[in-house]
Order: sequence, then structure tokens, then C-alpha cells
Amino acid sequence: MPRVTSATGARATGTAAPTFREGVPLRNVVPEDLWRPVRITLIVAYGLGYLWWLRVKGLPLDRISVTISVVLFLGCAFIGRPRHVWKQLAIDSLLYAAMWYAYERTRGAADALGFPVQVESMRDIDRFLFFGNDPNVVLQQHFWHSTVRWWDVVASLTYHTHFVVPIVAIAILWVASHRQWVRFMKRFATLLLVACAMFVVLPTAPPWMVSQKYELLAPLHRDPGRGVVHIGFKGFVHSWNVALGNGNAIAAMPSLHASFALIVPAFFLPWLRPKWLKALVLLFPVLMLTSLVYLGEHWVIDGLVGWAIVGGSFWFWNRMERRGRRQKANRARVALAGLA
Amino acid sequence: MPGLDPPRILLDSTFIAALINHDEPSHADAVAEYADLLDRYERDEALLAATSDSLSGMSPSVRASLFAPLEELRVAEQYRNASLDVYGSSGEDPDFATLLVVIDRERVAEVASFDARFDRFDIRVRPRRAPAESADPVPPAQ
Repeated sequence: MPRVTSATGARATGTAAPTFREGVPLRNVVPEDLWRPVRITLIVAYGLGYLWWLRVKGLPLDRISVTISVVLFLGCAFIGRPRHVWKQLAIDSLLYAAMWYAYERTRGAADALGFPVQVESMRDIDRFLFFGNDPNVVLQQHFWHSTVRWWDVVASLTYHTHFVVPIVAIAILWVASHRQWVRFMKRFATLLLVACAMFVVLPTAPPWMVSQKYELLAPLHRDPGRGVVHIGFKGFVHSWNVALGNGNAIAAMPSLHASFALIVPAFFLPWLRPKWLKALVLLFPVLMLTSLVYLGEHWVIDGLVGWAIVGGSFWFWNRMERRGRRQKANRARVALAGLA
Repeated sequence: MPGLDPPRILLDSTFIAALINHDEPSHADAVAEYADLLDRYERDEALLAATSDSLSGMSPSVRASLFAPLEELRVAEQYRNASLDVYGSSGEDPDFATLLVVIDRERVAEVASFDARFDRFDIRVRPRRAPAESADPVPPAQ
């Protein structure tokens, strides 16, 4: 950046000020970090490898596969960084793993703690919101066909971004800015905590279960993978079916699919400049909720509550962070006043 | 990743010394500048930092009060190793050379300092002041 201009100096002193050379750029003096091109190369290689794996083997969905892929990515992205950065990464990783472990244990145990399963209540709320209609049923009656249509592919792909988008966002933030990673994880962990509490106290049967098992809803088809199978991603459907078997089927409320689809764009929204881009990005959670309802996986109210939890999480942590900055600044100001 | 965080402003040892010490000639400037930086910090428009070298030896009470908003930038061994190339070729002293490496590697946007040596480099320095004349300044227009 150019330094002083003569015009400024002339105005200030009333005399013609000398002009100066521009400062020496720091990159001319400080040796380049030789590990940086190595990291970039490894990250690109990882990306290509991930895409190849996606195509040949399928999307990694179970926790172990996801953990391995995240660990590999972090290894590529952090190689050559200082020891204290690795130490911080180790602490972060332990906390991250602890968060997911607590989530999995709670989610898995939620349906065994004796709270009554909500079978009709969410259906009734959706009927109230939609003037007596069942959105899941209406969408499938209008759009479900025995042959796969383009919207089935869109819905299926959107559904499965749930297993990729938050993890990718977390990994990118981990590398790009530890401060922003911490901010995101606070909000994300809060979402998981509240969701798990709700899985425990309000176990909720999803629409497909209310239809197929309880027969309290018109028949619904359930095949969220058929769209992506249609375009050739056979591998992860097998993994997904296994993952489904290990999940908690009555953890519909709130919808973490809908929540995750909002929390990532909402977090990055302040950095998006054009308003149209912000609006476009916010269409993603709407598309996700529409897909979930069409696929019979969630009630509309599951998604709305999920979004409300995201909003609450942001509100809470934005307040806490503002308060923290204010407290530290005021502490410094009091000490500064003592110096005067 | 540039742009995700507010700009990081490094307070070097000359600034910290001027702030703490009433007898320093730049004390009043340092106080005024730091007050402005605190406002920016509170509005989340700036991150304030200092190196672990600058903060070492500081009493915990001062660290927790006057410098509560500051994040500590660890001076890694690889930064000190890289600084050997800086002071070897440019004649800068080792501590200043290490500081230049930290500024580069930790993506510091501005430096709060009263060290005139920064004037030689393309670094934004606060408080803003007329830089020292270069070795061969261009003569003023007649």
C-alpha cells in the first residue's frame, strides 16, 4: 500500500512536502512459507480423491467414514503449520468428537426413555397450518410417479447434502479461521444440544412411519435415495440404508436436515454482498424442507421448529459475543482511565 | 482466508511500553490510539493482538485488565527460523525480523507502533504520522 502522499503533507504544513518511495513489500523481505504450496497441492489432491471416491464408492455417511475423511483433510490442510496450531487442532478435535459422540448416544437412547411418541400431533399441526391438508400427501399425490423425474433427483440430492454441507463448512472454517470455526461450532453444538433434548422429551414419528406403521396418514412412498441412484450414485445408498438402520426413527422433531440446511448459509450470510445472492442462498433451506416433506421424511413443523432453534442459537451467541467484547473493552477502558 | 475476520491489529512492544509508561513521550498518543482501537474492537471491526514475546513478563492483572481484548500470537520456532533470512539479508535486528515474519504469517493488517523502522516497509502503522524521510528523498517541487 502506498505510504504518504505529498499532497497530504503539503496541506498539513502549508509547504510542499517531499514525496517518498513506497514501502518495501513484506513479501520481498520475509521468506515464503514453503509448506504453503504443499498444503495447497494436498488439498487439491484430496478434493479430487474425494470426488473420485464419491463416484466409485459413494458418499461416506457413517460417522467413522466421515471422521476419516475429515482427519485426512485436516492433515493435508495443517501440514507444516506451527506446533501450537497442531496443539489447538488436537484440542478442537477432541471437543468435536465429544460433541458427536454425545449427540449419537443421546439420539440413540432418546426413544428408550419412556416419553410418549408423538404420532398425530405434528400431523395435526401441519393440517392446521395448511388449512386441513397434509402437505406430504399433497406433494406426493401431485408429483410422485413410478418413474424418476427431475424433481426427484433434485429432492434426493438436496436431502443428501445434509451429510456433506455442514461437514464441509466446518472443515473449511477450521482451516480458514479458528475464530470463525469456534463461532460456528458454538451455534452448531447448541443446535445439536437442543435437538437432542427435544428427541428425548418429544419423540416424534415421521410422516412415512405415521402412514406405513400407524396408518394414520394416506399412503406415502419412502425412498429418499431413488433420485441419486437414478443419476448413478449407487454406492452411498447402501451406506445410507445401513446408517438409517442405526438411527433413531422417531427423531423427526426437530428436523436436523432443515436446521443444517439453514445454519450454514445463515452463518456465511454476512459475508455475501449482493442482496440477490443472500436471497438465493436462503432458498436452499426452503428447498431442503420442501424436499423433506415431499420425500415423507419430515413434517413441515419439524423444519420450522428446526429453523427456530437455529435462529435462537444465533440470537443467543451473537448476544454473548457482543457482551464478551463489551466486557473486555470496558475492563481495558477502566484500566486505561487509571493511566491518565 | 482474507475477509472472514475483522482486520487484525498488532500492538508491538513500543506501543505497549508507551501505553503503560507515563514517562514515555508517546504515552498520550498511545492512550488516544488505544481508546480508538477499543471502540473498534467492541464493534467487531478489529481484532487486537500482541506477540507472546511482547506479553511475556507482563503482570497477570495488567494482562487481564488493560490488555483483556488482546489475543496472543504465539511466536513459533519456525517463525524464528524464517527470521534468520530476514535479518541476515536486510540487517534488521533479530527481534524486529521475527516480528516481520509474525506480521506476514499471521496476516496482521495493521501495526500499532512507534517504531520508525516500520516506515521502510509496506505496512499500515497506527497512529498515523509523517514517516521518516527516505535515504534519498525527491526534492520538493519548486
